[in-house]
Amino acid sequence: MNNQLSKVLIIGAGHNDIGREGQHDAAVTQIGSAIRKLGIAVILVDNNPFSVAAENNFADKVYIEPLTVGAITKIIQAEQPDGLIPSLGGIQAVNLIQGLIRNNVLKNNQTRLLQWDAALIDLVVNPALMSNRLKDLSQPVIASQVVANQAEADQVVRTVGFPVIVKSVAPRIEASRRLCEDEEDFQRALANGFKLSATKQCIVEQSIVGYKEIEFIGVRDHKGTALLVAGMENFDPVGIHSADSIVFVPTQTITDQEYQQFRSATLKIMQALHIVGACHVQFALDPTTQNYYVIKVTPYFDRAMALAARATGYPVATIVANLLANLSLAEVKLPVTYRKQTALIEPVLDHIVCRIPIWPFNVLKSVSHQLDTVMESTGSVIGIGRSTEEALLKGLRATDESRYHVIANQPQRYSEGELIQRLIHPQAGRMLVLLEALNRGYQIDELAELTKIDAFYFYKLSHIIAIEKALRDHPFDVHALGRAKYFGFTDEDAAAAWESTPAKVAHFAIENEIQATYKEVEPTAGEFTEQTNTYYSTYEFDNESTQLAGRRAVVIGTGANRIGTNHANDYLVSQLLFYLKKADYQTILINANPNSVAMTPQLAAKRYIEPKQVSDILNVLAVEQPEVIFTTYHDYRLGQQLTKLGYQVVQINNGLPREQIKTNDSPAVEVITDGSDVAIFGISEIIAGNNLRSGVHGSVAVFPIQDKAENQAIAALSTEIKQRVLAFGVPGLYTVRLTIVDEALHLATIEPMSLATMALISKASGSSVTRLLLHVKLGESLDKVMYDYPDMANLKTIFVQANTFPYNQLQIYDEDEVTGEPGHATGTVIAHGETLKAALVALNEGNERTDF
Amino acid sequence: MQKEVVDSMAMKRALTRITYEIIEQNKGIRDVALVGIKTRGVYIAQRIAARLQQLEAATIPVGELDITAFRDDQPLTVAMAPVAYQLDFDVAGKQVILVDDVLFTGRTIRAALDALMGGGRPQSISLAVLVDRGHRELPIRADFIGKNIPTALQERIKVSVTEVDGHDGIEIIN
Amino acid sequence: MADRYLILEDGSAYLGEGFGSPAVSTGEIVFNTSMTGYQEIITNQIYHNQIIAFTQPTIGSYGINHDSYESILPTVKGVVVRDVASISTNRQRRWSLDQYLKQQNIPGISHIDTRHLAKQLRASGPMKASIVDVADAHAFDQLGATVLTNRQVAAVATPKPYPNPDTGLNVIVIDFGLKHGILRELSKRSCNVTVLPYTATTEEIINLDPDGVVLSTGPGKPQDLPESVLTMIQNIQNRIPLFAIGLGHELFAMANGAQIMKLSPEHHGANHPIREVITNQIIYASQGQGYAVNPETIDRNKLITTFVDLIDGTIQGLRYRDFPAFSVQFFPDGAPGPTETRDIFDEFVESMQQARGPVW
Repeated sequence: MNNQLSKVLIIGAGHNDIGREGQHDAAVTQIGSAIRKLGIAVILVDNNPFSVAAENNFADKVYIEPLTVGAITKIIQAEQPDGLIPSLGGIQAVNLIQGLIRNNVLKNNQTRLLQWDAALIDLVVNPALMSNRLKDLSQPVIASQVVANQAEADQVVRTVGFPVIVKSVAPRIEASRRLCEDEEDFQRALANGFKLSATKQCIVEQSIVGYKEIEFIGVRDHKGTALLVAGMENFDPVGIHSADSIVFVPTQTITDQEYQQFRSATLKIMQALHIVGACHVQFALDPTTQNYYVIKVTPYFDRAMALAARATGYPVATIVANLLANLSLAEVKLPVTYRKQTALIEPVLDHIVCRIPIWPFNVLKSVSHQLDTVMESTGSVIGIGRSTEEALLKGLRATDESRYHVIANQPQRYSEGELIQRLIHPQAGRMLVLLEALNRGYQIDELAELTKIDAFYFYKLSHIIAIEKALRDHPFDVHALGRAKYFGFTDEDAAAAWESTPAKVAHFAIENEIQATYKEVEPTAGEFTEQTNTYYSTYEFDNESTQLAGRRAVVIGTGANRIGTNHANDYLVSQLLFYLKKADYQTILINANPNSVAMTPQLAAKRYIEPKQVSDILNVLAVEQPEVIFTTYHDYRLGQQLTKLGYQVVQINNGLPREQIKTNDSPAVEVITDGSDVAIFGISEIIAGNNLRSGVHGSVAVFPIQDKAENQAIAALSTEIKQRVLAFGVPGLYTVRLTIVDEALHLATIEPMSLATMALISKASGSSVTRLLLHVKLGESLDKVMYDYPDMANLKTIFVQANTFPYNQLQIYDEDEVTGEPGHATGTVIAHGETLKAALVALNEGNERTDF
Repeated sequence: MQKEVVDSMAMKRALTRITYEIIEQNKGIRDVALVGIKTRGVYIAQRIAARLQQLEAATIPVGELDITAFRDDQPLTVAMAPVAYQLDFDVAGKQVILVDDVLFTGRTIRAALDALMGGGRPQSISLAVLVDRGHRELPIRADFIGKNIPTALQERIKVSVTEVDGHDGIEIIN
Repeated sequence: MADRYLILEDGSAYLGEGFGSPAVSTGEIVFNTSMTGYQEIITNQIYHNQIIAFTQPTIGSYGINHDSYESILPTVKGVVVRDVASISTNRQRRWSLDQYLKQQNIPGISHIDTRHLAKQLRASGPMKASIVDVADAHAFDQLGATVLTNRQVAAVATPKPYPNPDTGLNVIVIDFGLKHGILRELSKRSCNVTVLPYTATTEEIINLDPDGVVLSTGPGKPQDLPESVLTMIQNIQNRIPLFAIGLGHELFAMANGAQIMKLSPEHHGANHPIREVITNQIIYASQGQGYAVNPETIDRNKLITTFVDLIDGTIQGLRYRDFPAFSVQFFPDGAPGPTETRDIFDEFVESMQQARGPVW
């Protein structure tokens, strides 16, 4: 077999969604560039306008095409790649590859499936097959059986015992899983399940609700060398989707015997399935017997792999790129800042990482806050510290929620019964409830029993409460403040406890030499010298982060991925970092989102994994003393605060109001200004979504509009447009909306260009408008900036773009809430065509079940 | 019914131990040559040779013998086909180690011995097998044994090697 | 909790909080990077008279378990951590780490910048250190004046033989301060074990008619042991299958003419890639090693190198060419650490079976 690769195809993950933040695009960005360094050409196909990998030469060639078997077949026929990478586009890409294999597309074009045996594809898409395979490997899996009557069902329960979960097979309406504790529950659930099932069948499954959920990540090369990258532990028990759980890296409460049992199982599974690359294995552990079950095997990039990479500093993506190019772990080529054998050194940590989920409930009010096996979080953030308390508090702080989500010194109004209900049936933001229960004097063992959360964590929470109480009881006490900061509290927390201001607390802290120190996130716990240029703060003796040399620019990242345009903001941050580097800035990113594309190591010269609280940011700024600070869309107020403190801040968001444009089929002119001159990119239009298909909630943006009459009419308005834009006096990108009055176009409103429009124009023109934005913001003149911008009049292809919504996933059917406003979007798709109609057809393709 | 009695790890270890024992008993590997009996014996011989090379940084000649017609699990009425003999080295003066997957009645080995002796005069011939399952019908014994697996006569031993079967392991079939 | 200090012989001092025993103690300080298994590490007798600094920040989170002891009476001189979990006891957790260290009269110190300490020790190598209440000149004088014993094995190894009966192969374990993992692995393989003191003579061993002999792990420098140990090894290695581990491995190498050197930086953890020479496979193993066999002093006509640490090239395994006697530097039983090396015990059992001949 010829193992030489000269060209590979990567199928991107498509639009962001619940469960799909930037982690896939981040992986594509890193793996793509690492593969190119090995002299292999990279072809990328994606339809996500906010894909960073699809811009900036991270791939040799980018296809913005629908993610369908048909479209990818054409690309394979045209490009004749030697290899196809299956692990970067999530489960959707695996499904596509299954289609490509069935249609013999890979065989006919001599395209090899990299990393996996073809047989693995079937196991990944079919959990029942995977389960059987795991059984063959003597790995324990949950017993699950299809039954057609009560007698068969009883038979199952006799072997596995209560509790069991009953599900209806092929239910005619949306049916939920029923947890049955006893015979009575069971009979009711079965009767209901048989009634709902189109096939009159139910699945009876052994319940492992309440077990500990443990996740392990390994890597393996084609020679069979394998190692463990990270072991992580869910704070929440099985029964809550692991993406909706608080997660700690490394594991906090499992013994070495348990840990080694999972490590061996992970490596054995990878070995048996011949996986080359990384693999994520989820386990359920019965805390009383040490018995475990394998819940899921995920051999493609997912949030846990992103978390493992960020938490350990082990360069997972670069290493996987080397492995799929058929190098072994011993041969992996890493940047010179790493020790030579880093790929082979099993990561060990001397810090603790805590991941906290982010909820969409502040926007989507009617969604149930109940946490269960259906994922509801839109993203997550991490806190890193040197104790469990510090990691947890920093993680909670990084969610940007009010500090009362962190410290429960506010008496809650729940009745005793309500509180117990909430302990047993957890809802989002449960930390408050746990703290409240501790405050009311619930015993730790009792709480552990009610919540199935390990008692260890309750000791930690009690400690947090004790520290906070000591802080409150001792205003401006050095010891109390020092201790509070040592365990993750901030100036803001102390200010609230002392009824003072953060500035006064900060001053007091500095006077008493209580200062943040920074430690590197690296994979050897200080045993070797590794330079990852990634730091976190703590309050200890030794500081490892010194000011970067050169012109420093700090970019404050997106942080938590919220519902709305946040995924777009992360794209903007990444683009800023990329072009600031090109403009010879030493870039420094502050961000706490492990799935963020901006966290890609090659984008910034240095990273601080820190919450976005002002005191955290000021601590970083004190070290780095940047020439300029960039804030993005959601941080206008933060930018103002920093400006007041004398920092040079460039606000990408001008603070101008933006109207929520509903579909009105009216054109808009997209422009850029440096403050003294204005250039027009072209005309865009927002059309009603139902041009696409009925049931569409949002709208579709179109660019460029090449309508001759319209263009002429706009040319006539150009002087007026320029005058109105210049009147703002602020350099930036603007959208000038027009209305049709008496069959003539008139200027309506001017607003800052949306990120969606920036991505649309960038993809349509093949040239990044973020670069232009950056340079006019840095004070350069338009004639210097626009030199290589393509002439829009020559663009023949029409691009269309639409938001995608999580209504189905979150089971929102309320007409009033299903509005399709951009604030509800979790993702965006883009497509193109020679005509508007063709473009709309392409937009729909592969997204038929997507909620537009 | 099939039952795996030796997994890939244990099989790997057995080959490793056989390799060390070869070094022990031959006082080094000078003049050692391996001859694998087709099909699986050849792969086992190659793996032992690879191990010897790792340890001693010397190339060990590996030859192949095809004596399918003599297989012990074939009825004795099968016509005696000529032995295929693929050695690109001279056995004269060599310490030849015959390698097979399973030692059963000993008839395969006798055939192999005949074939080898016909090709020249080795200094010595010894026998390495991955599995000795007993039930010998000839006065033949192995010098190097990976696993002693007691079996009933009607049972079969199936040795799998990755090169042919996609995985390593030893199973009992009955 | 009281303020206490960790002081080092180079004059540095770390302020922390005491836990465990309030005793003042002195020992050689080493850092361990294992992610799990603090109980196994603290109770491993190789750390006799040493102070262990853990780089993993939270230690003690699951208390002390009855099945994680590597010796009955731990003799470490101190435990240094960033954060000690203050769990109390309940039905699963018999003791907290704090309670356990109090019982065993071992002082602990928390709130230490263990990352900085590890980086310091990485550069300096192990040093003498004390856990004290006051870090004054007197304390440093005392530390400087302390002479650490070189009779560690005598202090921790069993003085009398004892059995660990089972029905299988007859195995003698020579105790230099063994970790229980060795007995656990032999038990799993039904070996009928007799543990003998390290002073056992060839005759005493042979008289028990063993199928195999294990030279156990233990603390300290192998050169500090009496010459008679080497003679015993030379006398039995060609007669009975031999398996030597840790300190036993170093002694096996010395018995065959190799020299032992001090290792700096030391290996205490389970993250190093180790190559098994014969298969070229890379494995991970639990290491706790302050000394190593000097590769240049190995007589290649006698010994084969079987395992090599890929980080610094140190020898991790040896084997005698002419008979089944072999050794590993790492802990093949894990406890704590990877379990993929446990099959070396299977290899030992197979060697013994092979030496006995077939069972029919």
